[in-house]
Amino acid sequence: MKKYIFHIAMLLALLCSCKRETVMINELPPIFPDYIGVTVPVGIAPLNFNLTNNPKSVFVQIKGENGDALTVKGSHADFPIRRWHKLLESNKGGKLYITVLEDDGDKWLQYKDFIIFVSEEALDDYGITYRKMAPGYLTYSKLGIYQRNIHNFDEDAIVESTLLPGHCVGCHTANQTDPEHFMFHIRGKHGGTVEQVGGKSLYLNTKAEGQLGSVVYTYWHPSSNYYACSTNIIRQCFWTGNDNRIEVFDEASDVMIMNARTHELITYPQLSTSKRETYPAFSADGKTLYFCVADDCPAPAEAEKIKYNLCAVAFDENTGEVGQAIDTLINAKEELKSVTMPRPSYDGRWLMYCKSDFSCFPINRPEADLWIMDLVNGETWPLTEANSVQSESFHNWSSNSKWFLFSSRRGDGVYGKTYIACIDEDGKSSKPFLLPQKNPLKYYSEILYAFNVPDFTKKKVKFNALSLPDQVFGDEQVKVSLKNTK
Amino acid sequence: MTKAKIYNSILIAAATFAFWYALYPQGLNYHEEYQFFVGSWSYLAEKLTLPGGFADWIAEFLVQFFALPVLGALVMTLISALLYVFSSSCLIPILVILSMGDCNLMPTYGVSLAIVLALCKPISKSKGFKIILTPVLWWFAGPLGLIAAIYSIVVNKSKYDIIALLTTIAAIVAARYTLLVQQPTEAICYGIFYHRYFPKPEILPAIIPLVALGGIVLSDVFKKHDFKPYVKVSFCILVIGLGYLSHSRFYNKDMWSQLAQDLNVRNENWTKVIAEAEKHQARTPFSASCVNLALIMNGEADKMMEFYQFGGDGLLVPAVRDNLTNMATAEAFWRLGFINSCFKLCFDMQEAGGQYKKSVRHTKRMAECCIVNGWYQVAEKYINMLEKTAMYRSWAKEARTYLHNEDKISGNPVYNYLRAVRPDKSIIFNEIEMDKMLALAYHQNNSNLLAALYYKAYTDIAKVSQANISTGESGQNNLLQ
Repeated sequence: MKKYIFHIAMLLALLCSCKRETVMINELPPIFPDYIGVTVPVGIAPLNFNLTNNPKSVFVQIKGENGDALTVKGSHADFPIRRWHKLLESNKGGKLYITVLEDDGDKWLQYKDFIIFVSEEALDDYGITYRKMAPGYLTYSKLGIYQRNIHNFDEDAIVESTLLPGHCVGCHTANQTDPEHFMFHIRGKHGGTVEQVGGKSLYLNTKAEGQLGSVVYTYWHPSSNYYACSTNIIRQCFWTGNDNRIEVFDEASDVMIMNARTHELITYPQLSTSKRETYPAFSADGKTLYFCVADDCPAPAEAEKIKYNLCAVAFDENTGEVGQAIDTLINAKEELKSVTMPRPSYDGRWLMYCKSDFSCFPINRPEADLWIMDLVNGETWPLTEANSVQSESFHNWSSNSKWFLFSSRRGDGVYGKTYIACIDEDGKSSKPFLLPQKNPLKYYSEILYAFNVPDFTKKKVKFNALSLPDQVFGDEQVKVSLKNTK
Repeated sequence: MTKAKIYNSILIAAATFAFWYALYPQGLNYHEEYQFFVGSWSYLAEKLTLPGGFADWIAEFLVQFFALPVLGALVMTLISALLYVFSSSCLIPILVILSMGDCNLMPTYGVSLAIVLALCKPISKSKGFKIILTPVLWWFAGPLGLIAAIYSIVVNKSKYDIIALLTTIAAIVAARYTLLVQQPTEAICYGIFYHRYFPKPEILPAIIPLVALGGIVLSDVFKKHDFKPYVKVSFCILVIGLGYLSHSRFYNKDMWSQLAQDLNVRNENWTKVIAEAEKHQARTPFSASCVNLALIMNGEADKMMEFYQFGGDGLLVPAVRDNLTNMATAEAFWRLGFINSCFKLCFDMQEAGGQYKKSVRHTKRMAECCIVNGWYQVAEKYINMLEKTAMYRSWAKEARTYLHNEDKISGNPVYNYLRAVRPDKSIIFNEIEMDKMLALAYHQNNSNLLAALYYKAYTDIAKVSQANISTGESGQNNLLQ
């Protein structure tokens, strides 16, 4: 009854204000982004949206299941931030009913209502970090690592390539979303790794003698005394067909661990074999090192045979030693698949990873999907709600492990965007929502950058970019030492 | 305006127009193809976040009209005339033209200079307001804005002028540590928008501001001791003459020729490409690839050995990280049906375009590649951008009608043909064994005669003795960086 009263009241309001007919349409509104049925945390930035048929104006009312309402009218649904937050707070754990009317010129067209769920689970992290770069091939121009406050639309640059002409920045990693331990790589003539701990930054030369190259993929140990890293000889090749563009593969790769206190790079024979070891990640308690490994095979000639398994080995943080016995957790090769990018949740419950037909770089594989493993019983399943027909990859967890984000090429298949979703107790994902923007259709249709390597950040990343050029171009690099274990 | 000034303005305008329209239209083309001016408030707002951004916005607005050579020449004529009028020196416009022999010196430099020179006298007379106006001028025009501060000090010698200069310096330092954290110090000092790649100026762009400053100071002095008009006009003619005679010292012959090839390839004027190569051909893979494409398209592939060759790399140049070397190769790939490879080269050349600007030329071609490939959403992104330009709006509107319209694409002879000849299997593109790629393309569809011609060209080149082929490495086109 309340719902009918509400609809009647709204119709009356419209009639009074516009004296125009309202026609009911038995369809869901064609909105961008698709926020129909998504689950959001309290405090998220407003889920502004546009109607894709570009009407003259839209009229949107959101009514909370537990009370409170919000009405906007304009070229698109642009919700005031404070009132939006208040609406979500008062409807935590409940539903929002959204009514959309489109100005047809001489009448209003009212679509079927849709629902947005407000999760009980908090997402208190400050925001997210990501790299924005053009989804190019060999050459890059402007790119940078940015941070975005997820409670509003503020975005700041952490470091941009404009500061370091001729150099690329990327592969940023924080320790379980804590930017007190933060690192990223710089590639180019004066390349190296910036490691910031407790506000002090060092510029490292991580290329040790006899190693394949500088470190590439890194993952902090929860104690922050170590980080796991891989060295990779990365190659690109390009497809002629119209479905795929780029293929990235490792000619060779190894996994090792850096002692973050002494900057000693520790190698282990069981992690530096003739196979391709890569994508290391520590478990939440730091006692296990996950990584992916593929048999050596000629590439690019046999690129489709490159299939990675997911493995695990024990790690002792007191001695820095790695166990001899390597467990194969997922033999993807047997399934004729490839598993990459293991990301354990920080509460120790789940392990999320990518699965694709082949390759070590799933972002270029349209079939790449997110899967999850229950670390209690080892069961795995796809995150069906989160996946699409395009690639999903570069996933990471929020600090409370209830939310995750990932990069998806859904839509145009080229420009990756960041999506956020939550995980329930059963390991099922909610429908993900696209990172909100003030005017999303304008923003996402005009942007010529892809969102890359998104990650949550517990608090704002503080980084003094001004000191970087002196460190980089002054070649003030701290050279890592090497320790080869037997 | 005195009679002498009027005559000199006409002389300079005529000389400038003749230079850019008749002699060096390729320079206009190069600047136009490597920018992307969007007529929106958000684009202007983005420009205003950096010092010199406003001048760059004005310059880009003007440069978009370089798409039509006569308009481009008129725009450069206007800039030259303004430079003369505001500097009272015919040296300035001539020196600016000579300095643009470095094809990567942006038109923004000339526009900034014109803005600054126009405001020098008004600011010097503005008493206390100059304390605010001078730093604002720096923000709008870049480091050249300091000319106004120095001019004020020279002519007025008052405390306000010194304060204005100090305020500007303080503003620069403050901006460096707040608003411009992500910009290198060098770029802030020498100008973010003046040069495509290197902010530090070469000799000529560095001394021009000093000459300009001297010019406007001396013009105030000479007002009292005025020369006869015929002297001033004669001096102007002398400067123009010397400028013309010396231009070859500032304009590298190879660069001149290659930019001409770039323009002719863009216009599909194959006869002109060949004629230019007969006149002078640079010893680069780019030049060879232009000539070879033109010869093949003109049905004169048998004349290939009459021109400089670079082996197989001079037919279809392997990917290089600069903004020109692969231009003709991208055009060839488009015509050969190697759509993904064309898209890749265009994307990368755009990224190498300098100043982090986008390229209208490459965006247009990428939109077409996406239409042929059926990547309609990506095509729409590029078409949306092109619709916001003055010169490509109508093309973009027409291109939009192809999106999701298979019948219309089939009805377009070019797109339909390319869909038929593009590789039907997804295989790894092999740049090293390009002849095999061409053989595969021809084998897949015998109507791809271009593939057959290029394949024959590869085998012909392979037969020629090493003495006739350059053994130089295919690498960056260093003339342009």
